[in-house]
Amino acid sequence: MIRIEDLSYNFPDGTQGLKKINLEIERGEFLGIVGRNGSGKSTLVRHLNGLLKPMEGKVSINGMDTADPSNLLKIRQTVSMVFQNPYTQFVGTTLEEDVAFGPENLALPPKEIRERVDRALEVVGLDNFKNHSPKTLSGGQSQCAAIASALAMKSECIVFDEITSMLDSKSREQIREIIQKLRGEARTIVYVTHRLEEILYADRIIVMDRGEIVREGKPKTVFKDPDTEKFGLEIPPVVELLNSLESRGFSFDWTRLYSIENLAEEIWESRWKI
Amino acid sequence: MYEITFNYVYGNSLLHRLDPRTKLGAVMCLSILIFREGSFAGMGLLIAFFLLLTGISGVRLSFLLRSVRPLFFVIIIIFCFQLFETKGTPIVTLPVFTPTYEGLRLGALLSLRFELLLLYATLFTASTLPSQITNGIERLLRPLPLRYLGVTSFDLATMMSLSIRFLPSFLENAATIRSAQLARGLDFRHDLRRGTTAIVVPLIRRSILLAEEVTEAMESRCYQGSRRTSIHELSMQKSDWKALFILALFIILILTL
Repeated sequence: MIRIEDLSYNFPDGTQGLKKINLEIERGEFLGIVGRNGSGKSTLVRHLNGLLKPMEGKVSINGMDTADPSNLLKIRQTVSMVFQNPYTQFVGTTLEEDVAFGPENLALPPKEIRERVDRALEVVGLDNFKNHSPKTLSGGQSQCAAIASALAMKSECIVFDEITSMLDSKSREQIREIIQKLRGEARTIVYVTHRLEEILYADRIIVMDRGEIVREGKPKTVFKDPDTEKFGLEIPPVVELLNSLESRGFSFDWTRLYSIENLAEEIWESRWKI
Repeated sequence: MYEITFNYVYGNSLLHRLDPRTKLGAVMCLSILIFREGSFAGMGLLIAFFLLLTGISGVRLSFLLRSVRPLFFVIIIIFCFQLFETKGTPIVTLPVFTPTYEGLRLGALLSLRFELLLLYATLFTASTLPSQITNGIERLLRPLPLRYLGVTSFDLATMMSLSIRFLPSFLENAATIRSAQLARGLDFRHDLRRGTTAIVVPLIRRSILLAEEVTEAMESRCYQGSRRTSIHELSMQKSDWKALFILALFIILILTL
């Protein structure tokens, strides 16, 4: 559904942001994007809904070119974004108004807006906080609100740009569960992070460094690659554990490893398979 | 910590439930009345009407009085000015300033006027959510041909609600920067000029960065100023027309007084 061809981008100050990126994202795929700070991850995903326009190359979403301004509204209905800072993307004065902001922009009838808002808040488990102001929500709750706002757009693809980097570990786990739920709904998910453990269960990951895609493949193969640490990424202890268990004959379904509990279950179950 | 509620008091009274447009219209009409009213009898009626509305709203009178207290000082000054500067029959003869009966009357009227204006406005904000006020203003502006000026009523409404939303963040940023600069040895008391720049410049920088992030988030959610709907679409109810009718009767009563 998303096709990127020879995409290059330079920042206004002249430094190169992206170099000749080629990437295709399938419908329903969960793609993880990792890389150290400044590797171009955020710059890349800002091209996916036309916030940035390609300087060279082409980005098309369901066949619509992002460089054509007349496509933008349709593209942004297809690809939603959730950003890093939970507070700056909260534009309403109450939670309900914030989630309604997107559908309101689409000029939907109030009744449908109400339905979408209620449904989205239910999915992220914030239905009891409708009239709360951003100040009374925790960081994790605000980030869930941002996800609800994206859901209310009913878009096919949601891009998550480092959404957990300002959150504590409890909220990170919560978010991971919500994302797992979304994945069940066969939505295309692009997940940007610098924490490898958050994308263990992705269908495919790409590693970025200095504006280029340097590695691509299943999480399992990329994490086993000794070069991964060269690109400023730290192999999390969980992965080291998985690797050494696998080298001793265990085998796991990596797409199910979205929480520590699941991992424990997987280890438990594969114990019986040996 | 920096919650801006514009004195909103949660409630579900008749006054709370009225359409914001009705209330906006009423506040405007009443303000004009207050300004052109020159008799104490009329003022008395306006005060009685205010007390009646306060009673209906369920908002405590002491709360409303407390919110206008900061301006009490200004009102006292206005009163004193009128009292001493108006020419007429002196109450007592003093060497420099002489209070007069005419001054006393004028001063009392003027300070009552200001008090009442403020009180009515506070009652309005106490019974109407900021977002509802914005909504009401937007709906009232919508028929105006604003697009010839390059804006739409939606743009104005979004601007208003964003200001309400981000004012607390702005204050919070200011406080953070202040603490950061104090921690770096900024001496406020001895060099106010430098102290001010040390806070204002980073504050502006931060606000622009914040605005950029907010813009990105809004654009990603398809913001377009030209056409929007609202989850709280306003519609005038029977009680709104009734309220406006009562208001009209009250206005006629005051005018014929």
